[in-house]
Amino acid sequence: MDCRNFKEMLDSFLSGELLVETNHSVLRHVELCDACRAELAARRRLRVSLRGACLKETMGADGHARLRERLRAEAWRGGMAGVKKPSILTRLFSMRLRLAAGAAIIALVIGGAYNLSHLSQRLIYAAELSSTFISQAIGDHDHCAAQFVDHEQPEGMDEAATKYDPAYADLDKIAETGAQGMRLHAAHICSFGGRNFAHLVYTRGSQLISLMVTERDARAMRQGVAPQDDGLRAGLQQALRDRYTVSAYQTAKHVVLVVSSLPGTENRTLAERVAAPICERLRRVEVYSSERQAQRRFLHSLMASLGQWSDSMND
Amino acid sequence: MIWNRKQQYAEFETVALGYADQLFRVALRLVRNRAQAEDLVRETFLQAWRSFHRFESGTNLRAWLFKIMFNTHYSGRRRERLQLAPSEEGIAETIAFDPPTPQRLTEEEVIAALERLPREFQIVVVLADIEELSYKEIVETLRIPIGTVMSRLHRGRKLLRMELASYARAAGYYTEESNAKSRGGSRR
Repeated sequence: MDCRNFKEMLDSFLSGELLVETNHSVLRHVELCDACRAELAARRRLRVSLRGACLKETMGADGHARLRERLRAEAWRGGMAGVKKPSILTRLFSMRLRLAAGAAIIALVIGGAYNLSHLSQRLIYAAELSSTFISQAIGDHDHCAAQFVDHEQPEGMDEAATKYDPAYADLDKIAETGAQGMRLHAAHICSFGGRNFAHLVYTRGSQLISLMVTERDARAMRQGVAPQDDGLRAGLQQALRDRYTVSAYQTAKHVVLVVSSLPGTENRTLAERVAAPICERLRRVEVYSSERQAQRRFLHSLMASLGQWSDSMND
Repeated sequence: MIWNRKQQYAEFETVALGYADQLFRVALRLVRNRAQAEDLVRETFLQAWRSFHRFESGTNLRAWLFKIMFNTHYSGRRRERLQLAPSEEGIAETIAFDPPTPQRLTEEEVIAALERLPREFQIVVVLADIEELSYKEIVETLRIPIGTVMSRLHRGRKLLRMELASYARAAGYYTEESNAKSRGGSRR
């Protein structure tokens, strides 16, 4: 490979798009040629700074709140295609039933409106992770994971972790499908910089990869305020620091992270494979239960008021 | 019925709104200011909600949302959309020369250079290198063949480096030392 070829292939190399053999010849050329080594470093820096600069641009907490609020208003006003209107059905009911149905609809509308306004009042915080938090995650990966490289695959998540937080119970099993091609060396709870992590240590070839779950508390957030939102707004966040890449998902109560020295895109793909299923499961456990409770409370109060209303009709 | 729709809307918010920032960043490349970008993102989500019942779960939601955004933006801008297919041969000639990438650059310079790229290259570079969409997602989003995606990305990155190189020359970032280094290297 000569310098011209090298320059042509360099971008594809950085994006991890080349075949293994071509990759090797790129690397061989880099070893021999100072100028191309400098060019590789410069283009890598350019990528990082381009991405870093652009990713700073976000809608901001205000923008997100505005979006949610206005979208809710417009989405509910415009209605949704494919939903039938029940007006013909109501004709089949007797006068009395129609009144009852009318009252129920009014109750539902009021209830629905209450619920909606309640939701939009909920403060949405900027869901950015704090820099200390990222350092703690990298620190744990750096100090803990390396000690387990030679260990055999563990039997399952260790008991201490499960006791600490029942949500940590089967993390290794949930990640199993996504973690194909990787070897699991440890599944335990550990601590770094005063933060506890449920920690799964994997290797893929010579690469050491940490999958971690920890609490999403005030210290984890850039604003230092305990988050009230469901974490969904955060999407998948990525941070590059020194030689480490951190990809993180957030749920209402947890942060799920993948830490490794892989390039950004690869770490991200990995996170989509192993961290996303964990995140989904945590969300089901956290959000589903609270939504169910709210739904049940609302239906109870609706039934009670309908009961009272039909009693008064019978009198 | 209302509960049903409410649940459906909650599900829509859950799965879709996480992409708001990504859509917003790309919207900023399509329109002039943040307010317009916010409007475009909201309009995109509104369209998406209206056809959400047609979205097959398990298919790529992000690409679907981006596709809706580009459709929303270019509806009524047919002429501009057609201009998205430029005479690429002309550009290929101008970029046969590939200068070394400057070693020192500020983020402001990088952003300014990105903004000077022709729209059709800028969008592909942003989708691939910043939002990290796969080729397949970009094909779905922009509805252009994969070969075009690849060549635009290749040329877009090259144009960006050229912009930066001319910037760096003007700012005197190419030092004697780095020139000497690159000359020394090429002799090997």
